[in-house]
Amino acid sequence: MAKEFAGDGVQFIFLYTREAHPGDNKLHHSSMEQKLQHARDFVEMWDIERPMYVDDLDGPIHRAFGTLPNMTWIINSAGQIVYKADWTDHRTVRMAVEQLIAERDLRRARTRITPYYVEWQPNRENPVVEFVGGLYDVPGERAVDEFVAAQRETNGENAATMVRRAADEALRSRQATPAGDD
Amino acid sequence: MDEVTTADAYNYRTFPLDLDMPYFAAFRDGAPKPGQPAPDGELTNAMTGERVKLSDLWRKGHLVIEFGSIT
Repeated sequence: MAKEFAGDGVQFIFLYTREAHPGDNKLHHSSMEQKLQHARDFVEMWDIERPMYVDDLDGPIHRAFGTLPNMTWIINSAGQIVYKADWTDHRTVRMAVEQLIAERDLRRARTRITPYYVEWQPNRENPVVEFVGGLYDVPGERAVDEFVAAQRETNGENAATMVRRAADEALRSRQATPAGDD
Repeated sequence: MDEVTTADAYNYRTFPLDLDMPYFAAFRDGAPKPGQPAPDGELTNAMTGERVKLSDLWRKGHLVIEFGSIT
């Protein structure tokens, strides 16, 4: 999407934060050097082509924008917030960017435009087996156990059971793949 | 909206039990809203080490910021 809209002057950046689910294999940050190194690891793991930025060790910019682990925000060239989402969903990000371009075209056509305000609660995909599997693969088992415990505490026993089942399924699929066969 | 101020508290070692819902509500009701000025601050480019202000970036054109971590 970043490449697609580059010609329209829309910039896409990634802001690497604290580790949301630190574990024994991917530790919480205790120094700026480590945070920067983790950000570079992230670029390598996911082939991130967007510019990768970090804020300071205590996360001042992350906190100013609400501290959630996987947000997307869009700021227009006047420094005004035009979109905030508590979770990144490529579909609505695309819609918001296309809206900005449509507004630019209206301005160019000298059409009178005026701001309006929307709140919206769409649904996104929630690939929980893949997510919990990723916790096994990267930070390790402790991060899975902590996530299940947080689900139990915050959302109740049913939510914890759902996540534990997803974790079991992720683990089974990993054990079913013989080493060297994947 | 957020009482966390020390780097050690921000970079927690174990996933907090009560993180989800209070933080989502605070994001909705407490964090800046569309139409308001965006918070500004300094960033470091992780690949080049270059320091930039968020406002330097948005002045060059609309800015889509995805936040995230490895885990």
